[in-house]
Amino acid sequence: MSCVRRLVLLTGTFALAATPLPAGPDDAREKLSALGRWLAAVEEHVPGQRDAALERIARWKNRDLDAIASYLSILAELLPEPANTRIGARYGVAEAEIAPLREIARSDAARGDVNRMMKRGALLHADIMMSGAGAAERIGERAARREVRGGGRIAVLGLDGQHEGFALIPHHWQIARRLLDAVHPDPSSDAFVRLWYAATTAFMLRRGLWGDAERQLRHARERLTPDAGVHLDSGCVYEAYAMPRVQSMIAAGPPGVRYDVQPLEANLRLAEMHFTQATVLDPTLVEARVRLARVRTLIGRAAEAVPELERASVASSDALVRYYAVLFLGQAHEALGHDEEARAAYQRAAALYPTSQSPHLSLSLLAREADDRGAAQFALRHFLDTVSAQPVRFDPWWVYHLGRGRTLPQLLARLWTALPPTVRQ
Amino acid sequence: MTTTRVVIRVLLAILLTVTALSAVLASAPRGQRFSSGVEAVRVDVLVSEGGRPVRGLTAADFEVRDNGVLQEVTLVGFERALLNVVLVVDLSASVAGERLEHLQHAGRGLLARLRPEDRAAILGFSHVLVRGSPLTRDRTRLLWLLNEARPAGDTALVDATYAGMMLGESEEGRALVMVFSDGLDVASWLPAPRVLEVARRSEVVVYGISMKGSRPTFLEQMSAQTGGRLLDVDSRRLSDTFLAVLDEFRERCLLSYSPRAVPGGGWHALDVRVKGRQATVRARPGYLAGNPR
Repeated sequence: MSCVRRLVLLTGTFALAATPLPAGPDDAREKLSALGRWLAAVEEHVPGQRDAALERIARWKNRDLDAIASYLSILAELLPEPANTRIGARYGVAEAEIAPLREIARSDAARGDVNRMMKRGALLHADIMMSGAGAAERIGERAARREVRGGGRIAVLGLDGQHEGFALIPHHWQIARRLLDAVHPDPSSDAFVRLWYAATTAFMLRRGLWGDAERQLRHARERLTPDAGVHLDSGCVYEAYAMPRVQSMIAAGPPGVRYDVQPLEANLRLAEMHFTQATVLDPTLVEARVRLARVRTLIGRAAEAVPELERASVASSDALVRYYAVLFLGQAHEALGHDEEARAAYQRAAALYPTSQSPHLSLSLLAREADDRGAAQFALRHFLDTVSAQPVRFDPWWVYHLGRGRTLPQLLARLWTALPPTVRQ
Repeated sequence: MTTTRVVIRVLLAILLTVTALSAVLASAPRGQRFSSGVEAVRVDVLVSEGGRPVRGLTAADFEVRDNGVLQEVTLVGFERALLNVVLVVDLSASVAGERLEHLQHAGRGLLARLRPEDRAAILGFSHVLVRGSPLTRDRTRLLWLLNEARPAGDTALVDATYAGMMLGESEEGRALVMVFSDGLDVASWLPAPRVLEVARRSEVVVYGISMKGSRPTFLEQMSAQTGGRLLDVDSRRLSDTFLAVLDEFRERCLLSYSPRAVPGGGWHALDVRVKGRQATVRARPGYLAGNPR
């Protein structure tokens, strides 16, 4: 068991009319100075490390990040074409302000990788968030309402299914995605970009940052070529939205908060759509098939789920996925009234993970519902007498909601090893 | 109150009159069962007036209607019947700190208040269920789980409540399941509606004890289904609350009847009243009979 307090992050607003805040002073010199500090940190930061450069940028407020955003857009356009002379007019910026950016673009072009700065920048901002240095800043309800009046969205935090507070949504993920959007010539099929999305989304899923994950995946679906992994992750987010850990939190939320989460049934439909898409894009992605079958059982289509789960229960090379397949097979059979088949499936699940708890609970419940109190108690007592005394126990159900967050260490390792030498240095 | 028709096994002389049976059970030594050899429905009832339990009632004081049909009931006194007390305690991450200390203190106090013949079990839960011991009279076996608790993890309230009910169901004695949680369910495998339905078939009485402001709908429904109560308390009041629940449970009495002139299966709505008094009667709202599957 982890000792970490498992916070859940959703995004939302209040039921208020947005009144945009007045724009701040346009101090070009200050912004350019900030850009210089940012560029220095990007150069200095070692990907995957919580170093001094990371700490410096992690302290920036959202307004500091926003201040350099337009320059980053200019830089993104200059990197593949440092001599571009039309850009100043298009952004309404004087050539004097553009000159330092043009210099950076020329320097990177000379290194032979015009995307180096964009990719290193995206890694820096992801590392800020994943290291915990850039965690969402807690705010009170009054400040949250003020943020919403300014047209923004807020993070709504939950713990144990209950409302835990509000926080500002840090702009680091947004900046990182914006940098990757500028990867030349086309980010949509760039291997590094795809790995970055897979790894950082896994981080969000693992930490219960569902609101962040949903925004990121929406962006990924718009910008990347169709990707089975992106659809699998998207389905996982909507599946999680339909689970008690999110639904309880919404039901117990403070009055007036509008969560960016649809009703339970709509989430199940969205999950079904994305899992279906994932299986179309990659028919070998067994986990997507298993999740799709579970969702179909939940929406009353258990008969379709059974054959899919039967196949998946032997097809996957991943023991966890095989366990999910037989566990959900039991659930699907129960929904169809096939108690014997359900019992057999739960027994298979219990055999796959001998210290698991869910199949034993189901076996007991099945017996109790049939008014066989003795069998119900036997199933539960057997479990409590034997399994619950084990010092180390694991039920894959406990990590089901993490989706590919389960494989975060492997995905991060792949991301680091996939760094082009020019980006690593 | 029973959620099911209980086939009660013969243990006492079934030739005893109903009145005599009540008297015998009231003084029954531990290990004896409530038995008549016929299908019976049992209704665990708390009668109060002005917030205080009403004592000295007889079967003749009650009116029990099963699906609107008046039944002939017997009254089983419980002052000296053994109890099966199952304490289901939330040991998820949010309980760490002062709240755990209050819980440990309250648990020790509850165990000390039990009579020697009573049995107890403790089930700790986060997303993981951990049983301290089966139903036992050995108090030291019960204490280790509370003493060694290290709160961590998520809250599987539905799974834990189901397991608590199963631990409490026994051929011997009456079952009180006390479920303490400071959170809402986020990690259970079992679906809440099905566990609630099982509660309508069970004889256990569930008292939910939640922390102020947590609004645990599931525990509220479970307590209502089983004729118990949901108490919303500050953790500093846990000790008093645990003892108050136990004392209240001891004040309850058991009505029993063999259903007459009502169809067997399905939901049976129960209406329990005390004749000629403005008393408050707390009992389960009905029971489910027949195999649902």
